[in-house]
Amino acid sequence: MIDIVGIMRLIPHRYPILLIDRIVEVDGRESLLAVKAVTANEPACAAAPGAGYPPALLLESWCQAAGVLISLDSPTADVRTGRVPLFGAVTDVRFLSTVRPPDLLRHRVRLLRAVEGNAVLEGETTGDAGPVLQVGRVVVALRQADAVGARPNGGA
Amino acid sequence: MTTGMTAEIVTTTTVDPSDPVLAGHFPGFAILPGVLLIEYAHQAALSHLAGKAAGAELTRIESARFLAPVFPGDRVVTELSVKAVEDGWRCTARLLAGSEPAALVKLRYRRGSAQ
Repeated sequence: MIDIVGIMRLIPHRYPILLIDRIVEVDGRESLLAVKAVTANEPACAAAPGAGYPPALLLESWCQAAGVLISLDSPTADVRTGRVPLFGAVTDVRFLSTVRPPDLLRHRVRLLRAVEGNAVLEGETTGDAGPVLQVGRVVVALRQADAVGARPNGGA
Repeated sequence: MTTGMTAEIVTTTTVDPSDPVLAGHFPGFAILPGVLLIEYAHQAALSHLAGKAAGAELTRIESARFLAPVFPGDRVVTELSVKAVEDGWRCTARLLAGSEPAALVKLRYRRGSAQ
């Protein structure tokens, strides 16, 4: 089990876009199970009460679970001293059912390949009533901040 | 809209440096989360489809390719092409940050059952 403090040691995402709560199962470096509770008090839900949880945030939440899996041996709590996780590509992501508070999401992530700072992952998510997300393939790249481009510190 | 017809839509968003999301993504090094580029394409599609049918529903990201990071203050132009297909719509979006390609996104929507 990895609690929220442990998650924050592994990935650099922070409020209001830290979208996983706990890692409940880790199977070596190959697979993990993460949970996230969707609540009505979250900014996205508060902005549109009654609307479903935004699909983009559902995918982001799954991807953060993927980020934990690929960071177990090389944590990045702060991108200024670690590596920035960047989306490379996404293929065949299916939204199967609408997520609403108070769904408890269970993200299953499986590592397919990891080469030189790039990882390919797949998996799925269930909510309280069954499957909500199927992730065919996500490619994540980990890059040093100074290699990502100019404009650190917000750029403004 | 009949099957096979294509509509072209262009929307523009400036990434607000004071957007709270950027404070958490990431502290000291703000980058727009890639999923928000998907969200920009999704919102452009929804606003177009809202006039066509009630409850168009995002069912699938066929693919998304992220070509360059997007930073606070960047002006993001979403060029969206919407094509009616049998059970809904297929949307293809090219997103540019400044004049640089930032992402290519392909989305599928199901015609809503007007919930």
